[in-house]
Amino acid sequence: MSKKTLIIIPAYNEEGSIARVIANIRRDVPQADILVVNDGSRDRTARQARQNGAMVMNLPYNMGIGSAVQSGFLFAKEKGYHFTVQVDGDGQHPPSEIPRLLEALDNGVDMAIGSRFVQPTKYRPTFTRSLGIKIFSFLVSLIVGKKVYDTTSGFRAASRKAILLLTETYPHDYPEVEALITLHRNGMRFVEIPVEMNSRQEGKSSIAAKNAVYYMLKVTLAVFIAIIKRRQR
Amino acid sequence: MEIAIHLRVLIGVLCFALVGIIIELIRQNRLKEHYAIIWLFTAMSIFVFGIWPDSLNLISRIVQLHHLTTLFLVSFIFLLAIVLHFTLVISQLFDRNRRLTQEVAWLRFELEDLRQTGQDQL
Repeated sequence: MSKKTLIIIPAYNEEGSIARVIANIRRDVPQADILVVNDGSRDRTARQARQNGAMVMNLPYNMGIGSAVQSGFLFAKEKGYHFTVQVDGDGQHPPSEIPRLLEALDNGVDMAIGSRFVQPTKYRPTFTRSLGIKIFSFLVSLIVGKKVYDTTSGFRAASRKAILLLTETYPHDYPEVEALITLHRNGMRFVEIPVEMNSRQEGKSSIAAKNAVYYMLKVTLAVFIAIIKRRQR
Repeated sequence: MEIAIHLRVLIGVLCFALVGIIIELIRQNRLKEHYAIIWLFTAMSIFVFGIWPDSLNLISRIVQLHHLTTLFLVSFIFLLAIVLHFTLVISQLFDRNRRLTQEVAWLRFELEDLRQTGQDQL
């Protein structure tokens, strides 16, 4: 793991948890640089992050999780990072698992997903969420041609090749599922690494109940479009 | 199909007014020529239907509808095309706006970083 690694933390109003997330990452992955992409927070997320030793890139308005993460990819591309790891700012992704994700990249895959469902974990989604997760798992598995369990996990590591691709094309909202198809369509490989996730310490899921219908429709449509979309160059 | 003469005049005036407004908007730099084309085309179509209503009758016969229904159908398809065109434009603007914002955020980071390094060296 001598490669240059950037931890990307997309953060929107995470002042309550961001300091602890950064501290944990620095403890578990001391060699990595940490970039907080402050997605137009109205609280003290940026200051908290800077005080705890992270680099902070401020987006001028709330652009959505996808655009925030993509900003991180752009940063990594320009600064010549080999690997990026996306970690949520709310503390649900355990930094202690980051080395295992990076190890997978070292072995030549383009994306490693920290997955909640490969092995039984303590994570218990609600019924509707569980249904959505199963539907996307089914769809993506069908398209990719191998079983993919956790398509919606945002805990992911990306290789240089994937970074360059995703800087060019990445959905602005609910990007996780579609990005997998994009990778697959462009001949890149991804693997799932079983991880135990923490329950959210602060904040709530980016998928609120009232948005669930939009989420399902948008992502399903996006998946089908991603299949027929032209490859990048 | 017979259209009263005063109605034809009205349609003609309407078209010229539309064309006039479009040209004035382009002149004032408030409308891009690129998007004006679709409006000039709209004005022209209205003009053609106005002075030559039989063209509408011809379409009515082809699609076998009452001429009034045909009028609505033609207008509807036209509006649909315009809205689709606008959606395309908005999508393109959205993508560019997004990339621009990300670049700005990145440049601001670099600027502050450089400033910091400069201060440290002093």
